[in-house]
Amino acid sequence: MTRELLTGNAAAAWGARLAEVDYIPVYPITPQTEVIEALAQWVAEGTLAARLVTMDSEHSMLTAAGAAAATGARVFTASSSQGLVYGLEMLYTIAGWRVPLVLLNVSRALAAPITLEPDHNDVLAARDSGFLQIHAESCQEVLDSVLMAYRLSEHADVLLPVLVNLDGFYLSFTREPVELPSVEEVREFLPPHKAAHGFSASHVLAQGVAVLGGTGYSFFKYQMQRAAEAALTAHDAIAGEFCRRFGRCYGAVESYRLDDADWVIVMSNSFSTVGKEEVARLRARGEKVGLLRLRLIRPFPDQEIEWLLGDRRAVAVIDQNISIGKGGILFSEVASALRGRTPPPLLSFIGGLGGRRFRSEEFDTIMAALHAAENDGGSVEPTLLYSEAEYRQMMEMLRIAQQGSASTPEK
Amino acid sequence: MKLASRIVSRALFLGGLNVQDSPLYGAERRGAPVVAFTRFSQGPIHERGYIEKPDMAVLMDPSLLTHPEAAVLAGLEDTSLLLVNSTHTEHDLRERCQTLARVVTLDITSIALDLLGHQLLSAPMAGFTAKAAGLARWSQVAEAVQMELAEVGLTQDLIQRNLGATQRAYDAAPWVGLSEPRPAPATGVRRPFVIPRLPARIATPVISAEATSLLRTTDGWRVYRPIIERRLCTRCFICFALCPEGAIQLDLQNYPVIDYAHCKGCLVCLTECPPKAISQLREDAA
Ligand code: SF4
Ligand code: SF4
Repeated sequence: MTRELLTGNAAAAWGARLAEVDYIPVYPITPQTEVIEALAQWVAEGTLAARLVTMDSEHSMLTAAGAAAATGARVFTASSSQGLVYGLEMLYTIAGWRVPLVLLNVSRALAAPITLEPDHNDVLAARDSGFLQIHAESCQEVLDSVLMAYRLSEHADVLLPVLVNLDGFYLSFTREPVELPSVEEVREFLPPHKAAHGFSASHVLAQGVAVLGGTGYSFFKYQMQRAAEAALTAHDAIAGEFCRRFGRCYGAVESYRLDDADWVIVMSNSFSTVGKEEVARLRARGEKVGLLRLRLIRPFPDQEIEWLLGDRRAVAVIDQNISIGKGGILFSEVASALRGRTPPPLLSFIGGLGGRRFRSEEFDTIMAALHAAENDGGSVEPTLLYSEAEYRQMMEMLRIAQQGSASTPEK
Repeated sequence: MKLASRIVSRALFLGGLNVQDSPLYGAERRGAPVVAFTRFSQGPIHERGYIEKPDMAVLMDPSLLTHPEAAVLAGLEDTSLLLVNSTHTEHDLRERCQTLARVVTLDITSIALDLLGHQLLSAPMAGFTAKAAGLARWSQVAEAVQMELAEVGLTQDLIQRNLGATQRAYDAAPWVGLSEPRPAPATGVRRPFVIPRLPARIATPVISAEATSLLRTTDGWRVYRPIIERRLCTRCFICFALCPEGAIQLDLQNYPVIDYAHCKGCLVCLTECPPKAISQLREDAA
C-alpha cells in the first residue's frame, strides 16, 4: 500500500492496472483521454500486460469490449458524454449478452450547446441499458470502485457489465492523495475469472440470438432484472470484504450525519463533498440536517432509501441532470422508492448543469424550503439553482451575440 | 396474406363498417408463414393484435395444416368458418385435420397460376373470403382490390389481371356466411407468476448446441418441388453451389441430392441448371 497524489483519471487507470486487465479498446474524448494515455504508456513500457487497441469510434470500441469479454478476457474501456451516447446501442447489446466488463464514464454534459464540464445526463442516458452503475465522489473512490466493479460484474449471480462514473474536471483532472494497494493485495480480492459461456475458438456459439415473439424477449429481459436485484446483495458482500481488506467502506448509499437528522439533502458524485461541507455549516447553526449520497444507481437501493428517508420531516433531492419535460431524474427515482408509507415532503432542485458550481447561499435557500415544505408539502415543480446576477450576465452576452438581429433581447 | 387481409378490410370499410387489420411476421424471407388479422364491427373496436379466438380462419397454404408449430386451427370452434386454398374437398380436409369447424375449400392456386401465371394468391383469396363469409358485394371487393394493389405499386395491367382472378374466385365461392360472434371469454384473477432468477449460463440468449437450424424444416414453404433427373445431370455442381439454403448435397458419385426437409422451393437450382436436368412438380400436401 502506497500513498500517491493522483487525478481521478489516473486513479481510474490504476484501477484497471491493478485489476490486471487483458484487453483495453479505446477511443479518446475530453475529459477521459488521460485515462487511456496512462494505460497506453504502461502497456508500451511493459508494466501492464494488456492488449490496448485504438478503435474508430465508441460504437466499435464497445462492440470490441463486449466481444472480448465474451471470450473470458478481463476488459476495461472508457468514454465520456457524446462518446457514451454514440455507443449507446452497444450498451444495451453487451448487457444483453450477460458479459462482465468495466466501462468508465467521465461525466460531461451533452450537446447542444456543446460544453466540456460535467453533469450526469450522459451517464443517466445509460440508466436503463442493463449496465450497473457506481457513481464515485473522490479519486480514491474511483480506484476502489473500479476494483469492486470487476468483482460485482464477474459475480456468478450477476454477470452484467458495470459502469463506473466520475465527474469530468472536478475529479478527472483534480489531484488528491490516493491509497494505492499492491497488486498482490488486489489479486487476493479480485482473482482471475472464467467466461460464463465458454466462448472460444473452434467452438460453435451464437451470442445474442434473435427471439421473435414476446415470450423469449420478456424472459431474457427479466432475467437481467433478476440479476440486477441479486447485484444488490452481491454488492453488500463485496463492499464488506473490501472494507475488511482495505479499510475503506462503501455502501450502496452513503449516510452523512443522518442518524438524528430531521431534514435530508440527497446528492451524488463529486459535488457531494461540497454538500457535506454545507451540511456541517448548517449543523453548526443548529439545523438537524444530514446528507444522503447516492452511489449505486443501478441496481437502485429502493429499500435502503425508503428506510433512511421514510421518517424525515422533509427531503430535498439535488439533481445534476435534467430530464427535459419532467425535471430531476434522481428525484423521480427517490420519490418512487418512497411511494409506500406516508412519504415526507419531497423537494426537487436542479443544479450543477454543465458543471455550474453550487453556491453556499443556495444551501440556505434549500434549508428554508425544507422547513416550509414540512407545512405546505412543497412545490411539485423542480427549482433551478440559478441567480439573478447570472441571468443578467446571460442577457448581456445574448445582446452582444445577437447584435443586428431583429430579436435582440431588451435590457 | 397481409394483402388479402387488407383487401377484405378495405371492402368492409367501403361497406361502412369499422375495421382494423394487422399482420404479424418474423425476419424470415419470402415464403415463410405469415399471419394477418382483420377485425370489423358496427361500433368502435377496442382490441388489438393477435386474435386468439377467430370467427373465421383463412388458410392460403394448406401444407401448414400439418405443421403443429403453425397452429392454424388454434381457437376455432364448430361454429367457426375455415376457408382453405386447396384442391381437396371439404370432407377430405375435415377428416385429415380433424377440425369441427365449417370448412370451405377452393383451389385458389390454380386460379392464380391460370390467370396471373404466378402464385399470387392475395387478391383471389380475398375474393373467396369476401364471398364465402358474406362480407362484401362484388363492387366493394373490386374497388378494394384496385385500391390496395395500387397502393403496393402494381401496374394497371397486373391490377386488371388480379381483378379477373379475384372475380373468378368470388364467383366460384359458395356463400356460407359467418355465425354470430362468440361471447368474450371469461376473465378472472390469477396470482402473477414470479419468474425465478436462473444462472446467467442458462438465462442468456446464447445457442451453443450445434446445427439447430436442422430442426427448422422449410418443406412447407414449397409450391413446387424441384426434381433432379440423374440421366440428364452432367454433375456440373452449379445447383449445389447456388442453392441459397445449402439444401443440395453431393452423393458418393458426385450427383446432387436435394434435402427436401430444408429445400424451400425457390427453384434457383431449376433456373440455373445448364442441361435442364431439374424439373418441377406441384406440391399438394394437404
Ligand atoms: S429449390 Fe433448389 S435451390 Fe431452392 S432451396 Fe430447393 S434445392 Fe435449393
Ligand atoms: S446444375 Fe443440373 S447438371 Fe449441374 S449438377 Fe445440378 S442437376 Fe446436375
